[in-house]
Amino acid sequence: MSRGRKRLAVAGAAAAVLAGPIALTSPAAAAPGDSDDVRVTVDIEEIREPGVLAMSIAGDSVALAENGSTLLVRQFAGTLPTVTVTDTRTAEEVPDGAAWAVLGSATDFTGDAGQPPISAGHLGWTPNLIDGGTAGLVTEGEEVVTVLDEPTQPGNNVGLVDQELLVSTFDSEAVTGDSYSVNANLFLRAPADVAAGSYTSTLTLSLFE
Amino acid sequence: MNQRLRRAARRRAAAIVVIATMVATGLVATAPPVQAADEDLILNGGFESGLGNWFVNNGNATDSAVLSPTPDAYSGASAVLVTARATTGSGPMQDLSGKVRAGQTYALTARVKYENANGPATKQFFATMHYGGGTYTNLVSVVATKGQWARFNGTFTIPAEQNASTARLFFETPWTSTPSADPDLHLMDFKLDDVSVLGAPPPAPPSKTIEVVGKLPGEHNPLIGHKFGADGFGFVHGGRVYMYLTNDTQGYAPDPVTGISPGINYGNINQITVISSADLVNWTDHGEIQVAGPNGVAPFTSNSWAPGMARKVVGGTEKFFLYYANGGGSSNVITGASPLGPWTSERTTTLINGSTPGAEDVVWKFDPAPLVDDDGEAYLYFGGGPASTSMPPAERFNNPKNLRAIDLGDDMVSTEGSAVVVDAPVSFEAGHVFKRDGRYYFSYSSHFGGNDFGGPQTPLPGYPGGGQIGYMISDDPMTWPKETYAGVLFPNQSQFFGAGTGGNNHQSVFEFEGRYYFTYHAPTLNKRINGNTTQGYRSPHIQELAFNPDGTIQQVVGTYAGAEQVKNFNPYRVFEAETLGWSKGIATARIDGPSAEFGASVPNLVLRDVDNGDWTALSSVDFGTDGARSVSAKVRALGAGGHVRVRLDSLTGPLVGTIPAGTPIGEWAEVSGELDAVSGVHDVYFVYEGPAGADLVEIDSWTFEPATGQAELPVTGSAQSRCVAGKAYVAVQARNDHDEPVDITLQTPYGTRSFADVAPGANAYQSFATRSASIAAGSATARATGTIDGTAVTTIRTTDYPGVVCAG
Repeated sequence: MSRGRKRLAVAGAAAAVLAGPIALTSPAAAAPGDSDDVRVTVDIEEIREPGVLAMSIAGDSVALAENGSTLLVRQFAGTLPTVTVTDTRTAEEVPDGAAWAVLGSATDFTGDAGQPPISAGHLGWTPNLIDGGTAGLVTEGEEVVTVLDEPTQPGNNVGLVDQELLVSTFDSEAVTGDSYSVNANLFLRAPADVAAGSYTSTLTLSLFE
Repeated sequence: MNQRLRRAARRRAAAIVVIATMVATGLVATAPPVQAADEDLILNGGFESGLGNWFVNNGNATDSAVLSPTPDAYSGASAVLVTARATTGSGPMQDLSGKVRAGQTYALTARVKYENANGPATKQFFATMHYGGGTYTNLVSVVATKGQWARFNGTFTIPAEQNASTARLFFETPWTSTPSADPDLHLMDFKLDDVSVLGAPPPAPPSKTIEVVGKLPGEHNPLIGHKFGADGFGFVHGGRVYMYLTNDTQGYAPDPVTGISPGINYGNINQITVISSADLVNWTDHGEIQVAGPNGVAPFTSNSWAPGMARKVVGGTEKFFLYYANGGGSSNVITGASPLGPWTSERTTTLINGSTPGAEDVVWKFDPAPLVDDDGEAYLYFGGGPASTSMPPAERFNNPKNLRAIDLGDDMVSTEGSAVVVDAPVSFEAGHVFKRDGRYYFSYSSHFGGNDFGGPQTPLPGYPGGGQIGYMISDDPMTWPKETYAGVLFPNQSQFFGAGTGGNNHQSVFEFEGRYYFTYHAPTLNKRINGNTTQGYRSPHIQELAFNPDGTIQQVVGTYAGAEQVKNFNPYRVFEAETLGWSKGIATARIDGPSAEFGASVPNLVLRDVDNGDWTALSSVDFGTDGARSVSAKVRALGAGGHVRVRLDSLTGPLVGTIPAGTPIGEWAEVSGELDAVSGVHDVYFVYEGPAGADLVEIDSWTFEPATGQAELPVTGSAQSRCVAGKAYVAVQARNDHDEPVDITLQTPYGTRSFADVAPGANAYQSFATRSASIAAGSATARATGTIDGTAVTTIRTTDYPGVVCAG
């Protein structure tokens, strides 16, 4: 149940401001010479930082390797490093109706030796949910195929030119206080006559809410 | 129409992570550039399907050769062997007409080998295009070494000024006028394999889809509004009426600009169209039977007009016999295992022809109409055309004696004895016989006069005028003297349907559910497309037939209203989507696979060319008192954003449900919509909506689920329109409140996602990308499947989402 749960907000922070009631025991009648102790107690509640919604990624590059080429199409595949979305906010801290989503888009692949670029439309992905919790309210995005493919969902043969959905939640408030992880199979599909050489693209992932 | 638009608040980007992806080095450059969009225009280029799509070059009468499959293939299991070559041009040919275009460049590859011992050590071969007439162009050549496979490998560009409307590719040896002087040098056998012509795919042919409403809501004639069909023959079997029709749509070719087709050319027609109905209003399109022509069931015939149908048990096997005119010169029959086939030919020559006894004087040995009598004896009626010139002019006009009756053999595919004259007054063609109360009724179409019928003449009193349907009544199916003439059964159809609807007619009569019906044709759909100047494309009509107490027939009045609906339509079953009471703008097409309603051995059709605003409708659907709770369809989305609106009683009637049609592209899937309080009898309109300018979906079948008798799964759903990064998403969620896991499929016009085994209390959720900055309001469906007390249950939940505009 709490497999993926990380309450990062409990970590003590130096700038915490103490606050809390000071409780005194009730006054008592005392005879001269008696001595009474006054017990002074204080309960200090754990400091609550505002929670945060954050994204991390387990790597900063991936090399695509040729795999699955045909006579007409050369295909290069790899795996997007695992992306983790962590939400430490309390339910009250989440704006009503909010829903977070991670989107990704890629730049054209540019060659290192002046060869013509390969447009980002040739790069597609199949998101793969690693940990989506148990409520079923976090789901990876649908596959996006390339401009060389027939669509597999309506209009999805566009590649990662514009921002495409990697993972999202239906309701941030319902899934807060947990972290979720996803990766994706990346595939570059180029015409068989693509120029040989080394190419690079930048894939930008953005967390929205 | 109450489309709500919501402007979403601008969202912030909370974090950005940049990663780099890199392609491994080591790409190897490959040779000839080929556009990914190019396709191979050659069919069966490897000869793995035998000689299919190939034939011997026949550009000159002398270019003969023999093609045969050979296992000595360059690749695969088969190649073609060319023997008995008569000229240097004798070689295998494939017709690329309509596929290749002037100004385009194509890449041609092929493998060729020759082996004859007396041949030269090397030999040049050509790939050549025949552009029709005497125009030939050598495209690519190769010099082969004897006994080794040589490779054609080159490109060719069709000159911009070349008329490529005829373009036939073939393989040959270099031309010489007298190749027979040295056959070893010029006429050697050779083998060919792996032929490929890569290039831009051919342009789509102009649409033949009829975009007007050809059959108006509420009317029952013409029977269908999405295609033509003539010479209808009504045949009753298994509670359905089948109409067999000359496929007038085959040569229909409306100009993309003017919408006007050239006039009908009967010589183009070698298919028979079949439609059927259980109620005489909602007709199911079964597509076309390829009867004649090189790929036809009976390839020894070249046309198929004016069908006639009969059923008989032969040798213990129920068979269906489809008779047809092979042009004007002969008639033939093919055999079906059911009224919808599959079809085979039991004959290798025509059934009725110049050697049929008693038919020698019949000029047009066509229009065959069978009758199987109650005692099992079968008869065929046929014939027509100009009267014998041996008769005086007045007799040629009034009693042309051009129709015949003949006994059919017990096998139904042979004739017995000699044909006898049916002496029908003013007869022209289209003989047909039905039986009622022990008497035989022969009906036929009358001629239009002219020199074929004795020149200007005055018809005898009571005889038919031109282009009418007359009839005769006899006690014997083989005895038809002129005295059995009983009058005009149906005047020319133009009397009822006005300008542009004249011309020939062709009728039949059938009995269905205790009543008699008369079939005829009229170019009424053609008139609705093109106004009063029609091009001869005819449509099937039906009227009820009424008899007088003495057995004579009350003259039929042709109406657009047509025959009454025999029974209400039952929606609680899987039925074909090409079941049409009325329709607008759709076409039908055959696809592979079984028919959900009619079985695996008959053709399956789907609705195609479905655009925004097109619709199909069913007449008098009986939902019963408990009503329907959902409707499902087997569809294949062709783009995003399509859905089906279900409305009652008219195009603008109450909206009772929406089916989102965003299945994975190219895949058939079942989609559903929840229905609101639909009970009783209604006309049902399926209205197709989505982005304009593109085909939305193909639809195979429909089924309605009744509201009674089944518990529902406790599943609730919701849908939202969202903006993320300036683009609209449709977020759909469904929660399983059942105490067991259920499977849930979320369906939207923008995609479909299935979740297996959603746990109790858990959800199915997806946010579907629309890739648009704004979307219109629509509906999403959650389709839950699970078990309640061990019984499989499917529950449909439809929820609406609002339209949204996402500011960038």
